[in-house]
Amino acid sequence: MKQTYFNIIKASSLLLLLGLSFSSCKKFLERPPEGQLSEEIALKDAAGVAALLNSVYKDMGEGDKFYGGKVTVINELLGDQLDGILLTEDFGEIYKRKTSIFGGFKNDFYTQAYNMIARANVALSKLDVAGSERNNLEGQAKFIRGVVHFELVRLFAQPFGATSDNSHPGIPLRLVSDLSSGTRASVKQVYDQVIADLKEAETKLPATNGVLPTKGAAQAFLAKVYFQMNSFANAYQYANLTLTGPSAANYGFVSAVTELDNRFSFNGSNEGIFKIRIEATSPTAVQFGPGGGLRDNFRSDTKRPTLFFTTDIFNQVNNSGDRRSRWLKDTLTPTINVLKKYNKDNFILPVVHVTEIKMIRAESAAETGTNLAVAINDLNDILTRAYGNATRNLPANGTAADIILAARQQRTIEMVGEGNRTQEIKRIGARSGTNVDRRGSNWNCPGFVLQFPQGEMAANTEFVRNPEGGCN
Amino acid sequence: MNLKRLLYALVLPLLLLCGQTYAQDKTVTGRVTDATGAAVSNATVIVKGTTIGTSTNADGAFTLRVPASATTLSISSVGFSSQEVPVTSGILSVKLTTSSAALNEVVVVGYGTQRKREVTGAIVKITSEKINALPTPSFEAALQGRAAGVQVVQGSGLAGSGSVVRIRGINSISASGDPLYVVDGVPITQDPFIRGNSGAMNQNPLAAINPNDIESIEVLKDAAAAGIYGSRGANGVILITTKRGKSGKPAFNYSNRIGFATYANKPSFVNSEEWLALRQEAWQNDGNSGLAPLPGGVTWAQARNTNTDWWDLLTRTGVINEHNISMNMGTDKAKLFLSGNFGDQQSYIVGNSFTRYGVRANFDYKFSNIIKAGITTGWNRGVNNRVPAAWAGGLGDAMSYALPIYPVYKNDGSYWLDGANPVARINENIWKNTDDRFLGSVYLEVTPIKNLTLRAVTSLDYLVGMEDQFESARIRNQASGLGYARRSPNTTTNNTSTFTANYIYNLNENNAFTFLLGSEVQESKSESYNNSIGRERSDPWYEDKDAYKLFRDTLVNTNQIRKTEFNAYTFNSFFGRINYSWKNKLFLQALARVDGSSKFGSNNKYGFFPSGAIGYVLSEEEFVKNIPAINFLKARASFGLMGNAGFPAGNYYAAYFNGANYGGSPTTYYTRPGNPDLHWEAIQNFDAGLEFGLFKNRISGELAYYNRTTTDILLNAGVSPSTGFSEAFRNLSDAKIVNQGVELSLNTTVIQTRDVKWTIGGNIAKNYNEVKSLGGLSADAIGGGTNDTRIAVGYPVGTNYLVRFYGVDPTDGLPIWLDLSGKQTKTFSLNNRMPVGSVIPDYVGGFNTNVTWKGFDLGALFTYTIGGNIYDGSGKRQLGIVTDWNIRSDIADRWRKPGDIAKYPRLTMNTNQYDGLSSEWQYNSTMFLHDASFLRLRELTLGYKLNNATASRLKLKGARIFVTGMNLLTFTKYPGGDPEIARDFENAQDRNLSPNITYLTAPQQKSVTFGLNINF
Repeated sequence: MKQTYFNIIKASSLLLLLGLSFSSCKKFLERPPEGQLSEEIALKDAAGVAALLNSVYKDMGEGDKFYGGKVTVINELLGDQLDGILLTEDFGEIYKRKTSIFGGFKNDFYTQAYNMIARANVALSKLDVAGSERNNLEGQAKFIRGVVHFELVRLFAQPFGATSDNSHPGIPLRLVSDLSSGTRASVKQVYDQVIADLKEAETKLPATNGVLPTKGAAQAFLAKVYFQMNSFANAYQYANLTLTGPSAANYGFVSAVTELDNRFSFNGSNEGIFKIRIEATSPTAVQFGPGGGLRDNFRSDTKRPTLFFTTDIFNQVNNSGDRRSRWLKDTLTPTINVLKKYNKDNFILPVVHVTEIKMIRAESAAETGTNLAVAINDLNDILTRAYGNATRNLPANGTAADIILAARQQRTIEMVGEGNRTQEIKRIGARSGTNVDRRGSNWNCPGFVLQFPQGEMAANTEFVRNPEGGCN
Repeated sequence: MNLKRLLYALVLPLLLLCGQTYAQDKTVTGRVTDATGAAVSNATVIVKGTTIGTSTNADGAFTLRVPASATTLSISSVGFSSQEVPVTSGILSVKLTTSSAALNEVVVVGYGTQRKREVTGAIVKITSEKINALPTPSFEAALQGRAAGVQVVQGSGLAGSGSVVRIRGINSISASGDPLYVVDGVPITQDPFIRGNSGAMNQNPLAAINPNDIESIEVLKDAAAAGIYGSRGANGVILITTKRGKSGKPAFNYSNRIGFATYANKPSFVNSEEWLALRQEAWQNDGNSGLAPLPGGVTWAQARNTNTDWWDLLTRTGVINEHNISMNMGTDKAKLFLSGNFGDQQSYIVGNSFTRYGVRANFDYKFSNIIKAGITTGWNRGVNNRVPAAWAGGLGDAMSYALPIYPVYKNDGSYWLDGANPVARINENIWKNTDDRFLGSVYLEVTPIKNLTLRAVTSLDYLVGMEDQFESARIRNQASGLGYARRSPNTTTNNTSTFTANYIYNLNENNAFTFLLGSEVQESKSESYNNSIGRERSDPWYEDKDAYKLFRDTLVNTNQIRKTEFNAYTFNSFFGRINYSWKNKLFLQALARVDGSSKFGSNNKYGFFPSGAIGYVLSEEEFVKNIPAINFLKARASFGLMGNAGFPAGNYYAAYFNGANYGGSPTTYYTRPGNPDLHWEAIQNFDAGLEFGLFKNRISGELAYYNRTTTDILLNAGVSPSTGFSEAFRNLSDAKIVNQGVELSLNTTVIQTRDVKWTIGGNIAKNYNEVKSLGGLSADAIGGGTNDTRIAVGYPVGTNYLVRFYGVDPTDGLPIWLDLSGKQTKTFSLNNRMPVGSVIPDYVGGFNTNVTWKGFDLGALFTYTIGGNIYDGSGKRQLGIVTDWNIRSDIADRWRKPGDIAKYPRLTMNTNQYDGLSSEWQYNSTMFLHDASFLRLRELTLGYKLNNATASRLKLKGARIFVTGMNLLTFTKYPGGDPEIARDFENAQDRNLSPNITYLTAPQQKSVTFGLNINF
């Protein structure tokens, strides 16, 4: 009520202002809502630009916007490891590999992802105010722009290598923030830009950067990008740099079996190369916990999950003695194969982790036929952790073919439920024309590519749509 | 101590304030009747030249103490010509004659009042009695069917839900289509999106206004009337006038209403056994064998043993319980109105209710013949016990995901939560919105010289909302074993100050002018935290407010949340109006307003909105006077420019906002790109009308035509999503929307004798709406939220844009569609969508009849819409692909075997069976498009007014008892439930484009209430 009286007084004084309003109304009419900041105020200094980029990391983990849910969920739906016969609505449409120009789940993902790019572009246009923080901020912005374009081009376009010169249509490449209508760049142009951005990020980011992306994070993503391109020498180089370079002091392989439970945990694990953090005053007073979308769809200890897995993948994971079989079974729901990785109220979300980079290094080494010992060592680290002993390890003289086979098997198991499989199907298809999809589709069938949101066509009637027609 | 004495005691301090004026020394008594000798109650009796007066009781009788010097009484009543009678000794007998279509009735216009006769604009007045006839969730719903050209679609059966009110069609796409609401001269906070769309309901700030405090509502429809509100007048203006004190001794009124509510209409769903059979049929149609897999991990054995009627579990008979008490009194110096109210409306949904408490004090004081002042204050608290609905669950689940094969509880007594369980959710969630609304103003009126009145008003409209939510540990089922409590407070502060100068200049007997000049400033802002204040707890925050405050402050101090302002805007306006009257039969009006607003871009800060109007009382001319059937005839016309500034503030500049911390550091989000050219929408408005009274005024009414053209259309769509934004506000310079229509309202007195009076009245309005051009945007560029409506050139705003369904192929049961050229195809393609229907009806209106016989009165109000379409957005899931949704009983008419002629195709569980269909969400076709016409018995009331003798014996001045039924009957061909649909909306654009789109919308309420209204 105190507020009310104050407002009455305020209202009365407005009456007095009335007479004055004739002369001073211009200012009165330029009243922006407080908290809604103009660009001049919000981005006046390095701290302002840093805050703009900081919001992107939060968005990457928040709800189901990006890595917190949709990147993983969409990739899992398109893949061949979910038992999705009863899926309906947007999930059913993605699972059945026949998306339409509608579907809020996918379309919101698209817009939100591009909003992150827009923030990165605005930050890049404001580097003049960044002073001594310039390099760090530029590195972060380019890291964000590279990473987000990369995730989008993998979902909305046929994979790198689908045509010999990669001239097939990619996604709109947004390098400045404006309201121009979108047009699709070629896949080559997109990958070139992604690599340029990430290399610039690698150069400009420091080895250690608090909770923010580091040089190592940029290197890890370069490894992922090159690996996706089947560009193995480069993939090896960047995987190796990630694991041995100046950032490597911040993370490392965890050989203890606890890692299997800790990869997604409240305190996180030491394997996270780039991770989205929790904001909490105490474990029960969490203000922000990333990965909500993952818990909503996969969590299986408190409810029957929306998404669960095929018996085929369960059998692949459930090898005798493999401690990772814990990830795919729950006595609460005996009739379905549920994922247990995300069975926590809150967890730190590793966007890219050491195990994944070790597997990239191993497979890339084998593909190039060099550094096989490093590759065998990487896989044996993982196998030893999985079985608690060295009985299933690769022999020191394992062939390149053995390594590739083992690397792909271990990738399937280690990354189960982490949105890995779809891009493997596409990568291997693009590499050798082999169809490894266990649902029997061609790796480059139209339905493996998401339809662009109808808003692109509404704003630009010339926008090139992806072909319809699904898969099989 | 009796009640009256108690009330006297309570208002004693105020009585003292006015006390000195009771030194009067003469008593006049009398009785007022109409031409037939029937009593006229509530007639105003005033000593001429003073403000001393009273009103007549139920028998038309009055007693008034008057000064010894009083010589003349002036007697007036709605519907009658005023009469002056000399004060004489003995009982006065006054016979009033029916006035010419109530032309001396005073109507409220913007910033003043006018006699109905001299009004040149389109204005409809709705009296308190009509507004309070029904227990609607909010007062604006009571306007339905009462005024020509005013379409009111009541939201849903949810307690406190709002209505969509459209005056003369829809002019806008992204800007609000709602009229401006002005209470006692103050534009109030009316935004239904303060809390967005939560739980499938837009919270309605108007629900906190007590309908019993309303004296009258005037609806301003055209530029001559609404033009004085400039950039906010385009959608019409609803002026609400609250009750004020009247001359006379303290008079009390108590009224109540007690009754029961249920749903007006319910779609019919199949039971467990039928659902299983349908699913199995679909499974086998798809070429499978064995038993169909069931959702939610339910086995066939469990499913066969379960038949949960979720609808039944979630509904009840709601109880309505309302009480109002008011007092008014007045002397020549002071006048006072006081009221208090309590009302509890339970909806028919378990756990859902709206409780309103409120008090009002309106006080006027005349310091001298020069200075007058007054205050208007009302405080209301609305407590809405919320339940999720439609897509958010609750009763929506009972129509969708909550299957009859799902149990409520597991065998161990715990909730079954492997699929939708709305019972568990409603039992284990608390959701309470408490809104306090203070609406107050102070005025000072100075008459420095004769005929010049200066008036300053300053007002505060302060809205404090608190949302409490609590999810219990039992349903949350987290490892911590705790529930989760969250609170989100918000406030909206709206200050307005107005200064007007009014001067009456009577040049001579034949020529009179009234000048009005004014200025107004308004500042409104809403504030909330950028995140809800939530944490794991074992009980809701309101159980421990100290803990809440401590936690809130911790979050604030550690920068994890912060208070942000949203939708803060200012207006600075100047306006003027000149009225000229010639021989009291020709009336001219010119007005203009200049509006500046912080909503407008830096390149367009001020808008100018002029209008002109003419009214001519033809019945004053000999050539009409000679026609005996015509008692009154007036023609009027107006033309003017109005604006629509109904868009969110701050859209003209690129905006950022600070979010909660991440990684211990601040975050800043990029909310929207800017547009410095952004401004109001412009609406050119032409109105012409005829007002008439025929056959001794037994028939009276009004016929009107209007034509409105919108340009500079505000659009918040059509942006490439790879910009990172799906929307950005701009004015479309090369787009145009036209609304034109005809309205007719009629009132007839069929029988009028001493004992019996029978009246019939009604109105009908036809609106034609067309988007003439759209600046080259395709129909897909602008959609209504999640609904399948679009804007297409050559079609109305809110066009159903769907694939055409031709029928079911009898040979294989598959659906046949039409492509754009009309050729049959079995491939479903979204590329074949086209405009096929409209959410705007052809005609809307209402008709009423009222019979009084001695003390009894029987009244009925029917409302209707003719034409237009309903799109059954839930039908595509309830009657389409067999998924984990409930299925409606209408599915009986489906293809089962070759040769079947059926309405619905063969059942399938797999969208691949219907070639080209991506998912059941995209199964939008004319299969689910229906005729929206309906006729509804909106109100049926039987009342009995006690005669004077009985009332006196009970020491009452008057009493009436009544029983009212609301929505008792509905006639419709729509198969999906209730045909009156205004679902929850995402934003103004959705609200403009998508009334009549249903999606699991809770049907309207049907109620029977008993009430008592006594004066003492």
